[in-house]
Parts: sequence; structure tokens; C-alpha cells
Amino acid sequence: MKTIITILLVVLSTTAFSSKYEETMKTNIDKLYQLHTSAELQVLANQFERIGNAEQDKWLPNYYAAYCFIRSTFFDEMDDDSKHAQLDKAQALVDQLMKTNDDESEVYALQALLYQIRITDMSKGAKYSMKASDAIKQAERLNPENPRVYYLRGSNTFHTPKFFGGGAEKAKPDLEKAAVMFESNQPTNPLMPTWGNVHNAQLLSQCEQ
Amino acid sequence: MKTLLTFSFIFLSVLAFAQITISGKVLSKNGEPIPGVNIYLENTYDGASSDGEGNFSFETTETGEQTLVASFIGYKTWSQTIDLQNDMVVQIELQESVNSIDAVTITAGSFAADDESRASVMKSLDVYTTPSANGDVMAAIRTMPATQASADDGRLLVRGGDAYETSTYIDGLVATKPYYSKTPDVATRGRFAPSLFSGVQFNTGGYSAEYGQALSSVLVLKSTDLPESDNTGISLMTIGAEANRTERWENTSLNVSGGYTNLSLYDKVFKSNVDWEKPVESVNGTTVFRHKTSSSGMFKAYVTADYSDLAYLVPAGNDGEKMKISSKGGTVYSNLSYRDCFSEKSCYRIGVSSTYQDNRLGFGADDVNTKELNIESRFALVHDLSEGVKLTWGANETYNKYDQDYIENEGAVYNGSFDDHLLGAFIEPEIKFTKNFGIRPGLRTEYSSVINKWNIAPRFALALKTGEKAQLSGAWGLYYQTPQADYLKITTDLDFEQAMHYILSYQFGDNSERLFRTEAYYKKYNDLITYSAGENGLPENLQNDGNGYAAGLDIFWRDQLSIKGFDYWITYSYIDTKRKYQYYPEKATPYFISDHNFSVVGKYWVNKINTQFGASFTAASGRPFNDPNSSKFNGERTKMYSDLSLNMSHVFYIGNQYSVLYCSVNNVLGNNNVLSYRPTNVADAQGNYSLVPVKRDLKRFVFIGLFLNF
Repeated sequence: MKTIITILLVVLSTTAFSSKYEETMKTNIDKLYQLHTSAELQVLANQFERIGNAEQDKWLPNYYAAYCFIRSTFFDEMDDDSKHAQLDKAQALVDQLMKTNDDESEVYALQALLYQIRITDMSKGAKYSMKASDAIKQAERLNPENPRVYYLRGSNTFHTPKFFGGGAEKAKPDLEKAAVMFESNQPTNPLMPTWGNVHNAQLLSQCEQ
Repeated sequence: MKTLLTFSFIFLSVLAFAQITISGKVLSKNGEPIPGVNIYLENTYDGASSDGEGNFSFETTETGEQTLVASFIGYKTWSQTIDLQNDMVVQIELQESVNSIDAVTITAGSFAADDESRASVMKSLDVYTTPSANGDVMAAIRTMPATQASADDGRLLVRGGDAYETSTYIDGLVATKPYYSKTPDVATRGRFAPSLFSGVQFNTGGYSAEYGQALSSVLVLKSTDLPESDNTGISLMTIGAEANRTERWENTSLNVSGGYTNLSLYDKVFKSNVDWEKPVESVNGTTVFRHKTSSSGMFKAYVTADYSDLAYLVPAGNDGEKMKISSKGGTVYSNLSYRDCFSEKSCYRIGVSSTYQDNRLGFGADDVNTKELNIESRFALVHDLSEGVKLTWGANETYNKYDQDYIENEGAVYNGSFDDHLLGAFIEPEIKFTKNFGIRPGLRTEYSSVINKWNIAPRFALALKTGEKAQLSGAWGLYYQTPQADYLKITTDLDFEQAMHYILSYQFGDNSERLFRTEAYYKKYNDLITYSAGENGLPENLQNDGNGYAAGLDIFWRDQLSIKGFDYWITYSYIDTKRKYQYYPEKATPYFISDHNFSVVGKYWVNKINTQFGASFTAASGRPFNDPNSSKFNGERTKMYSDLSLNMSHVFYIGNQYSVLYCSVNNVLGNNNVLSYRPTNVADAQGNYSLVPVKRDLKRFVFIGLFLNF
């Protein structure tokens, strides 16, 4: 009896622990898409980072921490220097992920997004759109079913000046493909990334204008 | 049993409710609050972020010995072991990391055209879109301060230095023939296509101990990594055609290209100032191979070969007599390099470059056949020793073989040849004491076997951030260069030429917005080669007897912010320089120097018509020339030089790839001033020498190119 109880307790506490991870992650991920200020997103990024520090074998906490830092630059009309400071934080996390999870398509997709957000002025365009494009290629190689691959490629093309082979027209096929995939390829694991759909739809509507 | 269970549950719930509050404040060293810091207990989810006032507070169920951590980018991570019994208040002081992204960078004397470097003042793309450059890297760099306009030369003449005083490096390896062969009165251009490079660092003085064998300047070209995708390009130009093919595999790429240039059409259509007998005709082929071996390892191989042929007539005597100058020759350059890291904290670069040139020059009835071989092997290591301390060290061996036959009309042959092994080694720490202050002391030593001499060249650079976007830098250094082949082929009883640089630089702003930069410098030359003209026209009595100075002020302003889509930069350089070298009877300002150089480049992109328009204007004050009939050496001055160039690039599509129609006009205003005067070698019956005016080879240069991509 004693043994059974002990086993029970152990099982209970471990499931409690693992569900603590999943529960906390799920709560924070849901929260992530509701936040619309950079300060709140940075606080949340720190929260994800803490989970990542405690759960060394999990990659999603750091992934979301990086994504929060990237997302924090979308709000509050941040100036370029502050944007890059946030992106530097994100990059440090992505660098870690590249070491531990270089077979994960989403990591490369996130890297591509980060590079794209780095383009705060024309002078950075050539360099970072090239880097983004390389990362997108890796993401596609690792999982061609990842809708973010086509969304990011479309967005890259959309924002590249016509002078260098970009523009809305060129971007449309990829964005359309992404839109279809966002619908059809919804992740079974609720913790897996889902971002990109909204912006993809925005870009598509801009293409139609 | 029941008791046990109950006990367990009670125990668990007690655990869950024993909350301890940890709160406090995060401050920087000088007492300012730091927001956004992540404060947490190691290996738990428990923690908080500091708010705008640096305050934080969180609750935890953990007890006993725990590690409290505070981390924030740009600061050293703080941690402390705490014993959790009761609520506690912690004051945390974070120290700035000297490796933070906005830390000071050493920039004195360095103008980078790089997409990555923060010291960057130009982008690699600018090389293509600068109207006066016509796709020549060297010409684009001549719109930077510290250079001479030198429309009749085409090479980089930096801060009073002669053309030979600038060395060119590709991926850290020397390229001894960066220009096509230079013949009198006709400008040359750079040999390397700008598309090969992702960055250019133009060092106008005070440069790192990694580089030697340059008295004035080092131009460092960084080649591109893997290209993005497969591509076929065809270029049709009014001066020739080019084709290239790029294949990209996952970690490997191969690019093969070839080109043909023929200027005879130009000679027929436009009235050239040069009396061409055989307008420039050249062929070239290039292969570029890239292989990424790991996330940090990259192998690059680059081989280019070209052959060119030209001939023209120049006035030789007083009676309209003409002399034929011809140049025919082939050059092969190869550059193999590999870079990787041993660990996160130490990386290395190794490589071998070689240049072989076989050139046949004709001066009237005389022939000069020169064969040159240069092979350089080099390695460098970079270690991150500790936070803010980086150590770079390395060595090179450079072999030079030179063999020249001077064949006189009468059949007499003068042979000049020599071999040189140059050994060089350097060590250079870079120390950042704080985020705002760094120094870079360096030491370089070289041995040249042909002259059997050693040199030791100390260097020192420092930088101080005076504001968020303002920086003051200084540099000092001693620079040596082995005498030129023209002298070594006659005697090897010579010593290194020497220059000492002093540079003070101030910079304000950011290149992607507005950047202002000014540099003052003083340069002292010693041991320059002097000679007197011998009977057969060859120099004799060669000695390290010359000296000189150059002092000046360079100003650079670039603005990409004020008007949307419009980007412009302005440079102005003032120089005061005199030297006694070569055959100069006394200290004088060399013929290639304009005291004032001014240039402005502007570009405007019109989205509606997919076209970029560009204009560049260059002006330079008159240059000295020597009238042999006058008593003062180099005492005369030419008129001012100016050039207005315009260009236009229109982008369109063939399928998915973009193509460009490019058109440029150089010297729109048709200014046809004399650039310099060259005295004839022979005096007339009255003992007077006449002067031959040298003008730009084409009064107006119109270039149309169609660059197609598939």
C-alpha cells in the first residue's frame, strides 16, 4: 500500500508539474495575442524566459520569449534604436535555439521574422531581406507545410522595392498559399506557434487594392 | 493510511500557500532605475520584470537556499544566493556590459562601406549607383573624403600619398594589381567587379597592425557569402558585353562569368582627346566558388583572369612628333580563403592569394616586358579573452618575383630582376574599459629579404563616446613599405620607406539617418626614395634620402532622412603637402595634388516609374605642374577641375527576375580643362621645353547598359 501511495503521489506530482508547464504556457500564449503594448509584451517575454530557464529541455518558452520581444516592437511607435535593442534580446534567444533545435522549422521562421523587423530603414533592406530569405529557405526545407514560410516569403517580397525584384504583385502567390495553409494546417499541439495569419491577410488585402 | 494521505494533502496545500514576497529595485551603477530587467529564482517560474522606476515584486512558494538572478541585455547578469525564510527586499545594482551593441567602436581613419559595420558611411550598393563611378569600386571611393579627384589617373591617391602607397586586400589577402595597367595620360580603373563584394573598408590612415606595406592607405574588400539563388545574367553595354551564371546548392555556390570590352565604337562616335591607334580591347573571365562547411565555417575561392590590348599616340617633341605607347598583357589573380571558429571565443582566418602578370609595354621604339609574381599566405586569429578584451594576432609570408627586360630600339637589353620574401607578424589587443572608452594598441614587425631589413611598427588607436551618437577617435602609427619594384630592379641597397600618422576624428549621427564626420591629420614621411636621372633614362644614385609631410582636414556629411527617397552626401578635403622624393630637386607639392577637393553625390528614387536618378558633382582646385623653363620646381598651377555626372537606372521584369536599364553621362557640362602638363623629354633648338597638356580621354562619356537577369 505504501508503495502504491508513493507511486501515486509521484505520478500525481509529475503530472501536476508537467501540466503546470503546459498550463502556464497556454495561459501566457493566449495572453500574448491579447497584449497591445510593448511594455506588457516585454514583461511577458521575461515570463517566458523564466519558464525557459526552469525547463531547460523545452524550446517553446525561449521561442515565445523571443517572439514577444519581436512583437513588442510593433506597438507604441518605438524609435529605431529601441526596436533594435528589443530585437537584440530576441536574437540572443534565437541564437540559443539555433544551437539546441536547429531541426525545427519554426525556429528559422522566427529568425526570418526577426531579420525582417530589423529593416527599419532602406539601408538595412538589402542585407536583412537576404538573410531573411536564407532563413525562410531553411524553414521550408525542414517543414514545407509550415504556413509561416509562405507568409514570410510573401512579406519579404512585398516589402522589397520593385527595383530589387519585389512588390505586391510578386508577393501575392506566396501570400495566397499561406492563407490556404493557415486554414488547413492548424497545429494539433495547442502550444505550437500560430502567428502570421492576421498580417498575412492584411498584406493580401493590400495586394488586392 | 488515511492519516498518511490526509497528512500528505495538508503538507501539499501548506506548501502551496506558504508565499514569500521578494521585492526591490534595480539600479544602474550611477543610480538610474533600469526598467525591463528579468528578476527570478533560478530553475523556477517565479519572478518579475522591473517597472519604469526599476521596482519589482513577486511571490514565491520556494523556501530555503535559492539563487536570485537579474538579467538584462547590455548588462552583466547579476546573481546572488539567498536564504528564503521571510519576505525580503533586495537592492540590485547592474553593471553595464562593455560588449553591448551600442558600445564604442574604433573609427579613426576608417571609412567603411559595409552593411554590417557601425562605422559604415557608405553601402555596398552605392558603388553601383554613384553616377561618376560607372561600376568601378575605386571611382566610387573617390567620392569619399581624403582622396584626390585624379580624373587622369583613376587610382586612389590618399592624403598626399602616391598611388603605390595604397594597398588593396580582398578577404584579408593582398591583391597587388587592383587596377588595370596604368599607361601615361590615360586613366585606369579597378580590376574587380563590385558585385563580388558585400563591404568595403577604406582606411585613410591610422589603420590596424594587421596591415603593412602601405604608407598611406589600405582598402579592404570583403567578398559576398553565398548568393541567394540560381541566376543567369547578360549585360549588353555600349562598351562590350558580359554574361554570368550562378548556381546555388544548399551550402555551396558556383558563379562563372566572362566579359568582353571594346572601346573602338566610342573612339569613332565621340571625339577622344587621346589619339588611339588601338582603342582598349579586353577579355576577362571569373570563377567564384563558395562552400559553407558549418554554421561558422566558410571556404571561398575566387579566380579571375584578363587580357587587354591598347595603343595610342602621344606628342613627343616640339614639332608635333608623335610617340606610340602600347600595352598588352594578361593578369591572373586567385584568392583562396577559409574562416571558422575553434570555439565561441576563438576564430581564425587562413588564406593564400596570388597574382601573376605578364605585361608588354611599348614606348616608341623601346619595349618593356615585365613578368611579376606575388604569392601571399596569411593567417589571423581572434580571441575573446574576457569581457571587452579581444586579441587579434597573425602572420603572413609574401613572395614577390620580378623580372623585367628593357629592350632598346638599338637592341640593347637591360634586365632588372629581384626576388623578395616578406615576412610579417602582428599582435593587436582591443580593450574596452567601459562601454564608452576603448583602445587598440598594436604592434607589427616585418622583414624583407630583398633589402635584408627589419622594421617594427607600433600603432595605437582610441575611441571615446561623447554622447549617444557622438564619438571622438584618435590614431597614431608608424607605417613601412618596401621600395617599389622600379627601384629594386636597379639596386637592392635600400631601406623601407616610412610614414607616421597622427589622426583626430569626430563623428556625430548615424549613417542610416544623418552622419557628420570630420578628421584632421598630420602625416610625416621619411626615407622616401630619391634618385637622379641617368644617361639611359633609368634612375641612378638611388637613396632613402627623401622626406615630406601632409596635413589636412576632411569633412563628410550624409543625409538620408530629411527628404523621403532622397539620399545625398557631401565631402570636402583640404590638404597641404610637400615632399622631396623621386627626382624632385627640392620639397614640392606633387603634380597629382589639388589642395581643395569637393564632391557631392545625390540619388532620388521615383517609385511610380521604377527609376532612380542620380547626380554627382566633383570639383578640385588646380594642380601643380613643372615648367622646365621656370626656375621654380612644380611652381605652376593648372585651372580648376570640375565634373558633373548624371545617371538613371530603370527597373523592369522579365518573368520573375528584375532587369535594369542603366544610362549615365559623365562630364555633362563638357568642361575640357587641362588636368596636368607633361613636359616633353627633348628641348628645342633654343633650349626650351614645351609642355604637353593632358586632358581627360573622353570629353563626354555616355554609357548605356542593359543588365538582364533570368
